[in-house]
Amino acid sequence: MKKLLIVLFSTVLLSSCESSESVGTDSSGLGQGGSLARFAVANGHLYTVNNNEISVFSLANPENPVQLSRLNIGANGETIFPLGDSTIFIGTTSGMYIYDVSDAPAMTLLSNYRHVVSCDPVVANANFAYVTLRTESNNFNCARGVNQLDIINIQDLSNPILIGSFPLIQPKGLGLYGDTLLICDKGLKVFDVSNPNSLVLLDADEDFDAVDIIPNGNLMITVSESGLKQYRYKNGKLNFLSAL
Amino acid sequence: MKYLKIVFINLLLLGLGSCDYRYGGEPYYDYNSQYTPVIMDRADLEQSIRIIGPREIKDYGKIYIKDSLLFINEKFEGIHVVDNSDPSNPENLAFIVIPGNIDISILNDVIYADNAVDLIAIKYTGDSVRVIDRNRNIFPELPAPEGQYYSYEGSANRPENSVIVKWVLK
Repeated sequence: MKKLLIVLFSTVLLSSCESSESVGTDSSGLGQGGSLARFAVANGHLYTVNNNEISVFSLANPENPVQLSRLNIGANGETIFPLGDSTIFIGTTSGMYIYDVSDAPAMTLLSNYRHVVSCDPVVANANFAYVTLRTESNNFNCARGVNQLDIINIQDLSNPILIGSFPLIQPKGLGLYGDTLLICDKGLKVFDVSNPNSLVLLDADEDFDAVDIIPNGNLMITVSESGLKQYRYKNGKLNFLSAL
Repeated sequence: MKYLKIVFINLLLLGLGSCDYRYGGEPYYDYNSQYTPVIMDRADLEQSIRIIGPREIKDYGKIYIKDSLLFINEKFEGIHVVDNSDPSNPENLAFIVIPGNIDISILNDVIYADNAVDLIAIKYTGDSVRVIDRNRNIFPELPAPEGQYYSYEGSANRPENSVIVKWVLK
């Protein structure tokens, strides 16, 4: 019971940190990409995923990236999501792969959460990974008829456990802002995920076929194939700022 | 009967294959993909990175934010640079031409980008862009839009030292 309380308490602490509304410069020198990114910088290394290969580059001298290793992941990799300095999540058409990269360029596969073949980015926090599974009829890499969100408990990175699957229309990119999950799903949809067993829709803009999103503090930057839209997110509501 | 079948299939394949004489008159055939590859000489690819003034954004790809600058990929063409210091009024500043580009990542003032099969490191200063490093042949060739298993006939006729920078609908 005591342990449970500690876990709960640290969860509260973690989520309160992530809810910070600060926007601005990042002292790490890093920028921020969307969930569909195939490039990520973590722990002084650049990771790129392409088809079944991950490449690791040293950025010891940032002006001269040096390729240190290549790893065949045995799956069709599509996206990279770095979490802190030691973990990267790879979204592939057959599942989510979690690697420990604290000993880069060595990569240790911690686990592989398999799912039906589909197109699927992933975002995560310390407790949960959120994977969207999308079907695309004109791409046979991901044409199996599944459109949903999987929420996976990853408190033990070596043993991911599916908590629930929630039906969506045709989800693409997604982004996390504290306990709020924003999903590009025939529009931009905002869900409260504070209870991982139920998804509560808070707000949506369905006039815009969003493809990917960057939550930059409470600034939500989303892109579709034909435009960019930005919102300020406050108290469960998307407030439109601009389109480009 | 069997021969008839083979002849029939060959006729079908001939019918499906289209002939494209772009880029130096080399014909490319494509029996599978609805798209045809656009090929660039490696020497041209390596001289292709440049900055031009702001232009209308289309074929929006991935997005990336670094401090107050927002970078918007135009699929296979390059990166639009947008001043986003006031998100209510973003201002399109410039376009960095990078053939075959899809992804970027930034550390400090260095932009890492795919330039078709190469990884390049570039520095953007506001009115100029400079390639400071190039790792050649890091990435597999750009696959056809329908998926990596689609291909085209005629790759054997490709000029040496050439790369696919995009695919266009036939």
